[in-house]
Amino acid sequence: MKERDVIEVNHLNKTFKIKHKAAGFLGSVKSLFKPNITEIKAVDNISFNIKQGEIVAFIGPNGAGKSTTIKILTGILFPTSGQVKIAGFVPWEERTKLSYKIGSVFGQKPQLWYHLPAIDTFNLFSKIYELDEREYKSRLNYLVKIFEINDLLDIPVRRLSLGQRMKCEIVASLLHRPEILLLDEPTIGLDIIAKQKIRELIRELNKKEKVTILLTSHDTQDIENLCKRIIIINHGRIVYDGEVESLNKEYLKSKIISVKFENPFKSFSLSGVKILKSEEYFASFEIDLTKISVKEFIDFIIKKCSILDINISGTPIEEVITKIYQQK
Amino acid sequence: MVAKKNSQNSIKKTAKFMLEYFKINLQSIMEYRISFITQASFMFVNDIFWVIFWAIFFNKFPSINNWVFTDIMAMFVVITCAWGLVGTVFGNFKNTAEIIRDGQLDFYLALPKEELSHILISKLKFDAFGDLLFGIILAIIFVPFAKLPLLLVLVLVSSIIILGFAIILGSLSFYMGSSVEVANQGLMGILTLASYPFSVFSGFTRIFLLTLIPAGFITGVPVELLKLFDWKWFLLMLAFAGIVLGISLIIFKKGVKRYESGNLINARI
Amino acid sequence: MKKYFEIAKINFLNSFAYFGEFFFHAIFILLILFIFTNMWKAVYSGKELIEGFTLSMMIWYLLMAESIVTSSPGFVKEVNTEVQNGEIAYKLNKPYNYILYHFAKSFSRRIINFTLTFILGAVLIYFLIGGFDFKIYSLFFLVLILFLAMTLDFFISMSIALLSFWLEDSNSLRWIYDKLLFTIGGMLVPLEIFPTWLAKIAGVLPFSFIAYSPAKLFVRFSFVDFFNVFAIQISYIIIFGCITWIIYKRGVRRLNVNGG
Repeated sequence: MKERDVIEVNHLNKTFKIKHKAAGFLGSVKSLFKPNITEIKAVDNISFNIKQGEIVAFIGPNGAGKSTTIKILTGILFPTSGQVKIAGFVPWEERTKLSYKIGSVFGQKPQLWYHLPAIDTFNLFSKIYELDEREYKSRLNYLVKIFEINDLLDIPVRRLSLGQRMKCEIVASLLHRPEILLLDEPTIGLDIIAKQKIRELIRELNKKEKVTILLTSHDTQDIENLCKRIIIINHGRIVYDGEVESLNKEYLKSKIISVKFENPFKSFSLSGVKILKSEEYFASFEIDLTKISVKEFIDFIIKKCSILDINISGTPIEEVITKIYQQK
Repeated sequence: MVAKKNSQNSIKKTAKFMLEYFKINLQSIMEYRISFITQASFMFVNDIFWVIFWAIFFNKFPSINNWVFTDIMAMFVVITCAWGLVGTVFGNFKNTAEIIRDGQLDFYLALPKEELSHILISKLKFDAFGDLLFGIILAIIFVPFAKLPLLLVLVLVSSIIILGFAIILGSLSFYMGSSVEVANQGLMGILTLASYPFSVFSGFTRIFLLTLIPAGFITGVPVELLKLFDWKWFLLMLAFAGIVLGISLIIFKKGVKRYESGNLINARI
Repeated sequence: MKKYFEIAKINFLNSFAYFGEFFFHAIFILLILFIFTNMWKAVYSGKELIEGFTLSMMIWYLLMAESIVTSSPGFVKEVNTEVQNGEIAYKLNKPYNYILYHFAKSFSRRIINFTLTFILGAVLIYFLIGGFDFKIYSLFFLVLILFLAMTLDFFISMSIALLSFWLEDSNSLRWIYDKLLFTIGGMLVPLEIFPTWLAKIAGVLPFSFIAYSPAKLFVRFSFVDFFNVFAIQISYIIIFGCITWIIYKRGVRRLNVNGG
């Protein structure tokens, strides 16, 4: 069965007018009468579709147009041109209707009342979303169970740990059963265990409820663990849209291989192999996969030396992404 | 029939929503009770200082252009009650400019409730309670019992003008990038102008205070109406309140379409 | 001594960065002047003198009193925050005296605030009402009295600020102090307007030596008054200087005991 597209974006553009202001009081006065305005394209002809139930990473360096796009998708900003349909709605025309279908978690902009227990915010949200009382109670019970936050409900949010807070934030955004969940830096500031827990919950949720998730994160672990597909945006344009794995294949042109030897290591030269580091019983190599395969290299080195241990690692996805960012 | 039921339903839901906000706001009073009590009582004390000042002043000069001490007190009742009422119900009325400038509007726009009213009610202004309480006490002391109903109406109309004026100044942020300073100074200015006897102003200033900076409509006209009721001025005041509120809503709604969120970069060269 | 002069200098230069802020502050002062000019005009209507003040003296009095009081930079809040978040511990280790540091810092900003406010206000009043018979020879003595008034104001504010060691929000006390300056300090109207009994009380309290006395000497100078005011200002400065110092010493001791 083919899943339907819940997010459709076609040729989306957004231009901002920027007022340049000279410093100081006189500058302010001057810009009041003769503003120096330039236009920048924050979003430049972007198109993509997302199917129901997908988890898609939506990433890009700061100022790439990522959050502008997301704000247009939620109806907060009006685009300059282009078509968008989210869950069947044009966001900026039917913002209110759409808001029932979307849930959002912003790691750096908490929506919970800081000094009050989370349950108070939940109750308020149930009224904001006009949830049926009984429906809301059962939904809350369910979420409380899977997120294991029963003991946290009555504690003022300020006294919760960051991880506990994030769980409550996510619960708050799920009360109204959104079809689409926007997660912006959901694991920011958390320790490793809390990060893993949050990721687990997100995965489970996606599986059980078929909720479509659009995730932005600077943590590549989030992306590798959660997402199959990744959309990378830079300078307002999509520079990559595909599977996370093929991103590796496409951009991974080298591997790092470290070897421990039984006997002292003697240097050699081989086409496509660069010695990064060499000690008496240890060396690490960077091999260029376009010139030599891993198998060829290992065959070669086994013949040449007696090996105690060998370790092969790829370029971390982080570097791949950095490379993409740096492309013009 | 269905439409009627729907609208009834939505009124019920809105009421529920307001009630929940009221509850959560009350809880935040409990949570911050010390600062609530401090801020509210400081505003109360502040108002007392002003009464002392006017008592001193009118003790020396019993009448200024036909305004006597009780008129000044009536003026004080109107401004503290109206300002206090706006502050207790729409606690964010002074902060809209900031909310728009800092991109906090995102939060409200992403939720299914009408954004302007949601912004306005989503915070409590603690000191406003002190103002309101002071105004009520002062009204009991200085305003004749028979005039209290009229006073109530005038305070309500006055509040609408204050609210509309505040929304207009705040919404300028949509158009100017930031109207925080303008809004702060504008509100401070109108509050100040409304806290002195309107009778001392004449000519061009008077026109100015009945149009651009409507401090005259906030306290001046109500006090005159309490002294001597006049249908013409009463209706004029009502119409003015309607116009200000209408303009403010138009400016805000048009502004939302131009909203640039937190992404606006004011590059400095 | 030289380092405090340097602190003052750098803050003096830095203040020019706050020009926009000042601009809005000034608008507010002008508004008050405008309102009071209208009010006094209504009160005077035809009368030449009220309690020895002509209309223009009354307005110039207000400008002077207002310029002094509102020129105070908000260091109480700053000190309050520094004490509350423990930042003060780092400042105490610096090779300067904490109180003198703030004195130098706030004074430099205050001089700018005062001068600019006064000049702007003077231009407005000159157009609204005109000038008055100012005694040029009194200028030197006035500057001295102004300096003492601001110093006294500093020590009172500072002793309030340092109460932050014990109180969570000393800023609200300073707010009450402000209101006292407005009213019985004589900022809004001179003590002559008060009922006699109140004028007598207000006349001995320190607040009137910050606003009322300098402003009155400005519009009606006499050497007798000058020496009186001068002597009392000095006495109050000594008293509040000592109070400030005692509170400071105790506060720092408390900080050492509690570790901030």
